[in-house]
Amino acid sequence: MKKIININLSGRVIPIEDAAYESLQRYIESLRRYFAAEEGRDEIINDIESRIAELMHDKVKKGAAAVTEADMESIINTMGRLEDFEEVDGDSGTASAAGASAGTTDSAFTRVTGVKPRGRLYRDTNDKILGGVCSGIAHYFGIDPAIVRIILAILVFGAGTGIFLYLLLWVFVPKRPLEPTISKRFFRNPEDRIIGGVCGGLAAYFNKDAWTFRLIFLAPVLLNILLEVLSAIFNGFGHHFFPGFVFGSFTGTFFIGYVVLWIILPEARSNFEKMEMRGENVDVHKIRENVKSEIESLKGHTQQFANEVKDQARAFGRSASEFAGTRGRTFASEVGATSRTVVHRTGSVIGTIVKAFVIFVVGSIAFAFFAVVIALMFTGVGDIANNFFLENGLQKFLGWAGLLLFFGVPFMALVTWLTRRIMKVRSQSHYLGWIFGSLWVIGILCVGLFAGSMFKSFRFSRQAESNVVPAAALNHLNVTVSEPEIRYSGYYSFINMDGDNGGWDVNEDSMFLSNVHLVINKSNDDQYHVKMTRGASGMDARRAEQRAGAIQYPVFLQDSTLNLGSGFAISRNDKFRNQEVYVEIQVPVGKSIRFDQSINERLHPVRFNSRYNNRRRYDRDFDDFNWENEVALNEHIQAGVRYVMDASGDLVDPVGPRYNTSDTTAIDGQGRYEYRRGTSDSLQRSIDEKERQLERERRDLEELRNREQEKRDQDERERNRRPEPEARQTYAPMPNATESLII
Amino acid sequence: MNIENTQSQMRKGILEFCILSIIRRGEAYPSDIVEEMKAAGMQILEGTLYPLLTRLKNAEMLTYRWVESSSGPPRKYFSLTEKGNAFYHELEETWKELSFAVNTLTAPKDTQL
Repeated sequence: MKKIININLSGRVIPIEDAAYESLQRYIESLRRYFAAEEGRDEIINDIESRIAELMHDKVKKGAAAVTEADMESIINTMGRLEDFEEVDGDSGTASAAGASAGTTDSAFTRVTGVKPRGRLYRDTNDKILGGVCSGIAHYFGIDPAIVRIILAILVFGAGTGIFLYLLLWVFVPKRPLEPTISKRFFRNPEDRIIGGVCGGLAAYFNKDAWTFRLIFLAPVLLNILLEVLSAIFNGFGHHFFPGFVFGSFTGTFFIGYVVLWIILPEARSNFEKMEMRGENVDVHKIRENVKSEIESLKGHTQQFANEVKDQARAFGRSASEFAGTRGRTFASEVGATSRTVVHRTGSVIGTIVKAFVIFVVGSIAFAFFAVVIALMFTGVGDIANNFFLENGLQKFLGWAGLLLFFGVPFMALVTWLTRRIMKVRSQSHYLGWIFGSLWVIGILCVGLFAGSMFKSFRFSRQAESNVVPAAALNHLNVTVSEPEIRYSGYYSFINMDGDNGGWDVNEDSMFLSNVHLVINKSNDDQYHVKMTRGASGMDARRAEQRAGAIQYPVFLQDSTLNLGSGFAISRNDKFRNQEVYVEIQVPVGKSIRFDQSINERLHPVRFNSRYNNRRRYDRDFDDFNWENEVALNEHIQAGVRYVMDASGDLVDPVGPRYNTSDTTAIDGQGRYEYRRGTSDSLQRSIDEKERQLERERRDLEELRNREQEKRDQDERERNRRPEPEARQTYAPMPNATESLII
Repeated sequence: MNIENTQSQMRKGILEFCILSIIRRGEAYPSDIVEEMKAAGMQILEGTLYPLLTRLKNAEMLTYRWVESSSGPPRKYFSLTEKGNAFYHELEETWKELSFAVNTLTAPKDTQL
């Protein structure tokens, strides 16, 4: 049984046996190679194909079902086998005197002496990357040009001598379209390529599997990674099993070697080249070597036949000037032409390298993000987020969906692309790109909405106030914390137990904070007052208030001891919404207060601002709540010291030196705790004190005078209204009002 | 010395002239030319002819036109151009000189001048 296929040759559809088709292909291919340097090559081939089609059509018309191999043989014979094409001996020495024949430039030497010996060094125009120097040399020695190029590359990289030598040869060595002298060559294999087909081509040459070579090229990189992993496992990070540079430099060399091969080795595009790549024997090929050089002569003859007599006489005289002219011109034009191709090719190589690098970087980033997402989902962090931060279904959905999409989609897209590339699967649909893109955009939207939602959850802050009333009049107040300190219970494994875990705790149901601030103010009467203010945020005012009210913070007054709790709990229903507790203690003037050391140990005001910013204005979107100063117990007040509240609202240690260094500016001393700049000494303090006194007295004086003035006015009016005694009555309350103004 | 080479050389030199002569007589397409040459005793392969014709056409010695054919795709019919004609005449001159010279040189002694 024979396989028959239909082919379309020059517009005719012809049934042909598969074997005959192969013969035809080989023939046409060999013709292509034969006429490779011809100006009208395509036209010639077309004409020949057309003629063949005619002949084939004739055979089929006679009644055959398809063109058989025997038919093909006879057709090829009719057209002529390549070896039968008119042979001319190139040794006969007829030089092309005009020097302008298409594609051939003979050296001056040849023109002068008329000798064109075979085996001369030429530059091969048929097989050139830059100037054909290497392939010319290879042709001379009968080896694969790739080898010569590799040597050149080594010379270039090694010492730079190669470049100069190459340029020299490029200028001085004449060019000819040369025939390949070897039957098996290094190519790049476009059918078996992952990046450039270098390994595939090598594999075809050596008849091995391409992955063997890929492994060879990748070996340094893989070894490097492997060793790093091993050393990390056994030695912990920071040690290196082997010095990295050993394998690092190999990696680089192999990488550069790959790129060099990529540039040097041509791609095996035509069937013929593919056969060459594998080293399959092609007879036409060898024959052509003889024939090809003859075509030059034919061309030369065409011109020369008309001009020979005239030019031979002038040849010698012209040769010297022509050498300079033609050589220089050809070099310049060649440089122009090849530089374009070189730029294009190196550009594409560089472009691919850059692309690969960019993809690698982006892929790493995306992977890192994805790892974050996985970590969030599967460790406890996600739980904490869910329980204490994300309020309702919408937030949860937005948050997680946004995270997943925003980070996960690029990761998936890159993985897909990489897999495709490696598996060499063609993209099935273009929709995939759109799907990924839109998912990612949705991810961005989700993240944005989520952020907005979170902001809204904190928008309103409300406070709940409650007072602790002392049972009896006290003269001294001890502030202490008797509950044990809140410490992390270790519920979640990923939180490090080694650090300072005091002041907070978290488990599945609740979060414990000791975010408690103490504010000390002067009391307006002679009683101590303790006011507790709990603050929280929420999506609206009502929720904020609810949350604030839900904070449970114990404050007990037992005799003269004020016992504060060590912290408060936030349940998972309430969520973390900036819950805080302020305890304001108002101390009457002249009475004392003492802070126990336990406060330092057990209360940890959680600070979200910078450490040295002691003042916080707490005035977001609420009514009239204005804390301006806080007592930072561990910085400005010493534990165990019995302070006395003085008239200006400062806590004063009557026994020891006045409290020292603090770092903020003073505010007017009206019942507020002050901080002062720089080192203070008592002199400075007393000066300031005196100044304030002075100010106050001045103001008092002013008031008094005003009162005096008013009084005089009143009397004046009284005298004027004497006939109206009733009116006098109405002024009676005035003196009382005056009295009350006096402090 | 390779005799085939020399023979081929001799043939090759005259090939163009012959082809131009044929075309000069009237426009012809490649198959025809091959047939005529075979009939005249000068064997030429189509594979040799086509490139030659193309070269001549590129050198503006020949021109062609497409002629629709009943039995398939259109064919190229070649004809001489002005330049080709002039070229032909020069070649003819040379050929005449050559053939005269060769004939003279190869004639038996007694017919030599």
